[in-house]
Amino acid sequence: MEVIDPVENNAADAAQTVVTPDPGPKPNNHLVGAILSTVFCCLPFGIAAIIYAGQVDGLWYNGNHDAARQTADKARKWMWAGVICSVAVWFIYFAVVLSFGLGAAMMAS
Amino acid sequence: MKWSRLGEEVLRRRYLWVTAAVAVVLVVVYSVADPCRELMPRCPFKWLTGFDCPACGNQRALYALLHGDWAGAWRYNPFVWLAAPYALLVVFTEYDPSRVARRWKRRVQHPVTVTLFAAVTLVWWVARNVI
Repeated sequence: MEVIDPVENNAADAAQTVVTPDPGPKPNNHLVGAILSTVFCCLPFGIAAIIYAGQVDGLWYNGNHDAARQTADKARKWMWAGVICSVAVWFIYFAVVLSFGLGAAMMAS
Repeated sequence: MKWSRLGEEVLRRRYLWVTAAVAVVLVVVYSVADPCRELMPRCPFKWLTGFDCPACGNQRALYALLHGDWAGAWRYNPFVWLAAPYALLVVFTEYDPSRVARRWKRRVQHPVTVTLFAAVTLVWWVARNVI
């Protein structure tokens, strides 16, 4: 697969009359969080987060700074949606399992 | 004494100590606790729908690996033996300050690589429930 090289500034750019605004720092792609939220049980949101997170770096190194920032924001939102959904599901799961488990234990004794 | 320099290098590699601590805990827990018998986490997705999620079987797979059952380690969840190393590579390329990590990051976190990983996850998720 092709390797994406970062955009390099050189003296020729400085000599041009067109001034491009400073793109700012590269946005975090949230890939680690996206993978974690997928593994800890929120597959639909997690997969969406992974796909957006994967696109961020490609967009940034191709010069689409705004698109990269927007995609990074989308990745972050889906990642948190996945994390919250995973936490909620695990919480409900433990609540139900524990209450059934305790209930069964109490009925048995 | 160059203790401050050593301290700097340790702090720069925080991700490594966290990952190592998690790995040690996993090895210790799954060396003694059989997920089939002990009270271990179960899968909410499987509980809700009855279908396997991509990670189902990973605890039994880890237990099997730690007890020499290579066939079982593969059988309970083959996908996790691809996903776990990839996740570790993502963590390494994301948090390690070295030049190697930065060079690898372009390939490991490349849109094509990531989409491929997501696609394999989805295909495995469906296929393991259908076959």
